[in-house]
Amino acid sequence: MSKNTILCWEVFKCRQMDCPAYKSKELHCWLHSGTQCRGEIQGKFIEKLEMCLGCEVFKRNMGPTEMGATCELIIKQFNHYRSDIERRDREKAEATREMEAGLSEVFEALKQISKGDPTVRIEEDSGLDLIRRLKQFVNATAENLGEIVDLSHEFAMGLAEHFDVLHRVTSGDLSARVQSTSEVELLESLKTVTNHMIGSVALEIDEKRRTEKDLRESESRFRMFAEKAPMGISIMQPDFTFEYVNPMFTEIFGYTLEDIPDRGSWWQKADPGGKYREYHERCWEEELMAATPEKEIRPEKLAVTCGNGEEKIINFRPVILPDGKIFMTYADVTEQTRSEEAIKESEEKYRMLVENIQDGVFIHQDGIIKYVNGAMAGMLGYSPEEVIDQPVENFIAPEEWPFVEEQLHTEKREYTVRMVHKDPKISVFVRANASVFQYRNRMAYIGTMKDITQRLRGEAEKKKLEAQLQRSRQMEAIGTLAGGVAHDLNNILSGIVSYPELLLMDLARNSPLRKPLLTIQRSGEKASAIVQDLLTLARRAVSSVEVVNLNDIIMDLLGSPELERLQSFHPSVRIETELARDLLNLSGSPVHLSKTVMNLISNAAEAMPEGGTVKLHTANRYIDQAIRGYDEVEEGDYVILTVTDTGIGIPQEDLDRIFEPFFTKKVMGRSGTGLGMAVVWGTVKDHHGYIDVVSEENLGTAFTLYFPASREDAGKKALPVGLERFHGRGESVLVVDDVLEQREIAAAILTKLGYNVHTAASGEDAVAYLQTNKVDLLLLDMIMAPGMDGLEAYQRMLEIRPGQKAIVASGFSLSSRVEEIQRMGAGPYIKKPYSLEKIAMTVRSELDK
Amino acid sequence: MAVVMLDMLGVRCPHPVLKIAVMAPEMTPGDILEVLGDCPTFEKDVRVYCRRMGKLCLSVMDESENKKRIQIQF
Repeated sequence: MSKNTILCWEVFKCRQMDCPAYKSKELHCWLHSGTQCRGEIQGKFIEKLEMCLGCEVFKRNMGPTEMGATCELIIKQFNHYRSDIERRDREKAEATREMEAGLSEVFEALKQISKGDPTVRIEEDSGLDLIRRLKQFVNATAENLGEIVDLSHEFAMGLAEHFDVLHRVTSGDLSARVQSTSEVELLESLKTVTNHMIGSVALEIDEKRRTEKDLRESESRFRMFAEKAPMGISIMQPDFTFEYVNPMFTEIFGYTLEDIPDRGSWWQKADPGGKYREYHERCWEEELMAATPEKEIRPEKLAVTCGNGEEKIINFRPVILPDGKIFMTYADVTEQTRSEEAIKESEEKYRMLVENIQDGVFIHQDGIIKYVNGAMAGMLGYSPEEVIDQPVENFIAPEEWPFVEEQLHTEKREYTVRMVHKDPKISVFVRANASVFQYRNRMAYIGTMKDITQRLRGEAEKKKLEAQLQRSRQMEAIGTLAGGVAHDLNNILSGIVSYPELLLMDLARNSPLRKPLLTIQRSGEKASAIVQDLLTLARRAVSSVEVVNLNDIIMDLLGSPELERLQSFHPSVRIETELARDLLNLSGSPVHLSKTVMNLISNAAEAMPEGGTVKLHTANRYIDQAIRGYDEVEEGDYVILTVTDTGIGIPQEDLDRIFEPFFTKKVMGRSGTGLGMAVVWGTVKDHHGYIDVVSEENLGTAFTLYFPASREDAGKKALPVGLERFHGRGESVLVVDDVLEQREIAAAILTKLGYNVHTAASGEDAVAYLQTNKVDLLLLDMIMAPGMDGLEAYQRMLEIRPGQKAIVASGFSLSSRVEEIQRMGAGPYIKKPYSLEKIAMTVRSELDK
Repeated sequence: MAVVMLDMLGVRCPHPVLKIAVMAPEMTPGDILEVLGDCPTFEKDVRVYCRRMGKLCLSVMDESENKKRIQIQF
């Protein structure tokens, strides 16, 4: 190293001790490789040369040697560069040629591809990577394009085939199907869908064709039917224009489709009077408009005018079709309707006849009532509804049913039968007449029934009336006899009854004459009662009615002289009683009842010549059904008296006659006037009772008497009344009587009672007396002979003394005459013989009015 | 029997086939559709079409410049 050498590490104060220049003492740093100056350009010759040539160290150390070495190095380096450039130029020319050839090839291929040919392929070998890769790219592109082209062709072919198939389908070839298979899933799916759709369409079209075929056939059939139909048929549009009418329509109405284009024009002709039009427009058409195929429309029967002016009755039956059209049938029911009306009228007539006929009409079949008219049901107390469907047997009296069954099997089938009324107490007798006929295809009986209960009752009544007439005539004879003697007898008895009473008033209480006088008085009263019985039997009227107890009457009778006398005639006859303790009272005449019991006992005793027992039995009984011998009885409580004997009995043929007057089989002269049982019968009848007789020869007889019970208490025997209350106060009384004894008795009693008494022996005398005298009261006899009777005399006296008070006294008088005089103003009627008490009360009562 | 001409020159496949498919409904049996095309796959496409659609490929005539004339009978 020269002394001028400058070290770079020293100049640059470098401490890069691993730099080659730092360690080499002689080193010329600028041309050495591996130095670390500006490390980034080390190894780059040109850049380092440029740096070193500008470096201060280089410049300061440059000498010729250093310059030579430097130039050598630079030359060497340039040589190297030149050979390098030459080589590169050769390589570049080669590459350019290869690139041109490759690019040309690629260009041609791309040109083919651009024309749409995806089959192009080129050799991929090339020295140039770019060309090789470009060729690869072109081949890949051609290949990819081929796939795309193939796919597009596949789609195109698929579409074309689908298009072709669909076109064939639309042309009517329903057998066309997409056939080709494809690897493209979408095309396969499209094929499936298309074929399925074609299948469905084909199916539907087939169905439609079948339906159309059926419809055509149906229409054909309908038309054939409609053309031949025996009824009119029309089809109307929903707006009521006619679409079709069949020949029968024209035949019925006389109109063709041209005559009646719509409903309105037809109705103008069919109903010229407008009778139905308003109704149709308002009601029926509303119903039609609202109708559906499912909803039935009520048919209408109307009278319409036809083309020839004839009026026909047509049955209109509309149906709404699914398409809204109105299908209407028309049946000409003119004849049928008229026939029906005629039948209805006839039926109505016969129904009226059957329903209103008074006879019962019935139909029964298999023992069951199928029909009865109102009269039939009413006959039995039912409504027809209650009788129909019931067994016939239920309405026939049980004992009659075998007879009815037997009658139904005879030729005649006419019979009289007792039927059962709803009210079992009522008996209904009918005359039935039945015939056999077919009812609902089976044998039945039809017939009529006539209620003959009234007729039978009438016949019975007639018989009864005839018997009563007979009895009346007999009674009339008795009446005439009794009436004839009664007046005189009563006048006679007045003395026997009245004088003891007057005498007893003046007698001391302990007088020995009192008992005989009382006996005389009772005998007189009894005799008077007997006369009254005779009169009652003759006139059939109970004159005195009071509440009595039959037990008391029986007990009184058992201790009476009459029974003692009877028993003396029949010593071997025993009388037993069985009297109800709680026997109800009855309203009646004690004298008559006593007489009745006496007559029955007497009759029983007479029936037992060999002796026996007469039994008197009383009881209470509620009667609610008929008693033998009576059709009807009044329902209620009854007092029963049964008198039985163990005697010879009454022959059956005599049973119906025992109550007739003068019918007797008793020994004449010993007892029996022939009136005994007549009095019994009359008494029972007058007491509104019933009598039943049961008798068997040689066993005995039982008479059962039924008297309506009374809930009233029996009156106690009248106690003697204080006569002071009824004494006169000096009033004047005129006694008018044609019998002297009567005038004297009356005058004595009235004088005793404190009256101022005058007497007149006839009506004429009385009238004359009143001409000049005034009296407060008349005691007027009704029967006076000869001359005026009481009625006539009173009339005359009223002319003189209007408002004249009077009481009427008589032993026998016709009730009508008494009623007449009382209507004229006379007061009470007093029967002779009268007691002191009776006349006192009657006179006082009349005067005090 | 009619002959119908269809010019498909310059039209890239598969358009010619699609056009033939569109025209097919207009053709009556026996009619001939004569198609002129220059697409590289034209012939191939038409042949495939005829096979799949059951049409008859009557003739294929090469003409200048890659043009081909193909007759299809329907």
